[in-house]
Amino acid sequence: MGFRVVVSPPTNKQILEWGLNACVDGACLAVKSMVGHSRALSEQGITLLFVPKIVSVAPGEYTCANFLGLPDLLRQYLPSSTTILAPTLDARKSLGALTQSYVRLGLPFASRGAVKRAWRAACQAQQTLEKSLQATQPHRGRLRILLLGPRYLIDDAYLSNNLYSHLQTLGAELHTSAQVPETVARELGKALDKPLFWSDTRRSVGALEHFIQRVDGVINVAPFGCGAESFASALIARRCREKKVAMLDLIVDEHTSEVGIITRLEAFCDLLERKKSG
Amino acid sequence: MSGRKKVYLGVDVGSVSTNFVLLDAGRTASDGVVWKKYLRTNGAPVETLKKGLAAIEQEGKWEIQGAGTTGSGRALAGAMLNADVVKNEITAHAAAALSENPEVATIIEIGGQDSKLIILRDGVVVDFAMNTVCAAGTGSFLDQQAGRLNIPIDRFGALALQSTSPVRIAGRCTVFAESDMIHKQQLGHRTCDIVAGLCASMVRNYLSNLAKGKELKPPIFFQGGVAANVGMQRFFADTLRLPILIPRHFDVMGAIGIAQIARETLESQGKQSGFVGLDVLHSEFVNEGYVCQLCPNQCEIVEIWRDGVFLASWGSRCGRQGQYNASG
Repeated sequence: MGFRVVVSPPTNKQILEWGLNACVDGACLAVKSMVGHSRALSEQGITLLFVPKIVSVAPGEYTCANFLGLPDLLRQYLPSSTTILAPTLDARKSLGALTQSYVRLGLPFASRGAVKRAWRAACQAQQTLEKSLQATQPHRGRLRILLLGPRYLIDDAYLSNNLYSHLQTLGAELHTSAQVPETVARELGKALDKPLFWSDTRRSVGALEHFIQRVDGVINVAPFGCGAESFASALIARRCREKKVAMLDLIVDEHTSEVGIITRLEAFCDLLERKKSG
Repeated sequence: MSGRKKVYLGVDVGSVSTNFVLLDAGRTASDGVVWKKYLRTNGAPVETLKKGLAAIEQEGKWEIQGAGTTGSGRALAGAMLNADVVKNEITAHAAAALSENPEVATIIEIGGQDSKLIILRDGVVVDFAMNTVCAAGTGSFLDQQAGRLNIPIDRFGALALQSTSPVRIAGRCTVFAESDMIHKQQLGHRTCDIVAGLCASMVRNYLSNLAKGKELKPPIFFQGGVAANVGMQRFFADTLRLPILIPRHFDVMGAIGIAQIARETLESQGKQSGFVGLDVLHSEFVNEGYVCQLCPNQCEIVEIWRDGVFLASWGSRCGRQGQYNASG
């Protein structure tokens, strides 16, 4: 559509600090980080910010209510010269609603034809990305570990306190829900008595079913005080107990010292090694 | 030198205390503790470590065959001593408990800033939990409250046992607990009832935080500094309806475990110890913290220098090792 897209830099100390200073302390780490990222863009002189109001990404399911509130939160925080593009993305009834939302968003900026072409290209790019994530083979390691939790935490090296590299140093081969195709995760997620209505949680449970027989251990990462994750971690823990697979709950917050996380990861890997050898 | 006894050194550098243990090289760990020392860390781990080593040197009868460090200050202590193993306190605590009783199935450990629950089956750790992000309900808090009530910490537990009707204290958060306690004091409740209420709430808090969904089977060990508190012992036993066993050296189990792991590691690999020797206590150590400016992460780096020679640094997220303090 002819726009130049600017993405905020990887999370760093300054970004998180902006977020911490702006938010009430009840907000989760991810929300605080998001607020900081918007400020980082604003500081670069960006005045048009794309922050969709994500209500639902799959029929019958919801995302975390914090996503829904983000555009309004940022409107209060950023200078009034900033315009926030916040289409409501709500696929609760049908996935087609997403297409409509995006087309409506694009129309003020380009012709209908150009917007539709852009949407198709975006879908294509999304598919290519998902396929390449599924095909990516993890670094080989002695201990096969499934890493679950919101991807905006575990894939963020700063927020997760370098989780990936610490685990790899300890000899872990890391598997994530990104390797599991959505159709597979969805099918396996049905193993529960009652369908889960948070998409992220449902995906975690599906990925767990996919991997549970093939890994030595499971780590579930959650931000402190996360409601959806409190369900996810209980469900995951129950399933792991049934299958006699070791599980570690890892809660992250704004601590900048890595000692606490390293202690837990190291002890967990020791446990897995001992179990394996005897 | 030949008259000296061969021992392994274990050091557990915690937030509140630093514990030293010497383990007889010829005996099994449970009865091999030939010397132990419990020092307050007082926020000065380097000085505390030196003090402990000085005490060992003064005795003049030990020959150290190998050394291990554990606890939240294990990296610093490990670098100073050039320790043979530097390992987390969960593994260390489990190793020590197993050497005392190979059957142990549950370990309750409450230290200065951490509380842990370790579940073992057939001599192997199968699950563990640590308190999440804050230090609520740990030794530091008991310490602080004992200070506020003007009760020596070693009398705290006994006082709790005198209570006939413990008051209910909010245990979720230390700030809540403290305001609840002050309020109950103002109302005129007896100190022993308040202290008992605090112990009960800490036990409740521990179990609901760490034990959720886990099966606590006997034998149950209670270790760490807080295990000295008879009030806590009683409330754990009453709540779980199971006997609570306190190991002989409950206060230094982390140090015992790490000394033992150091021995096992050296023996199984047939290696010579890299331990620097007790002379190290006459060295001058300088540790310095600063914020690295090389990238926007602005990591808080700590460097340690021995007699003007760079030893180690940590805290960087990029894993860079070395001297990057322009002013240093």
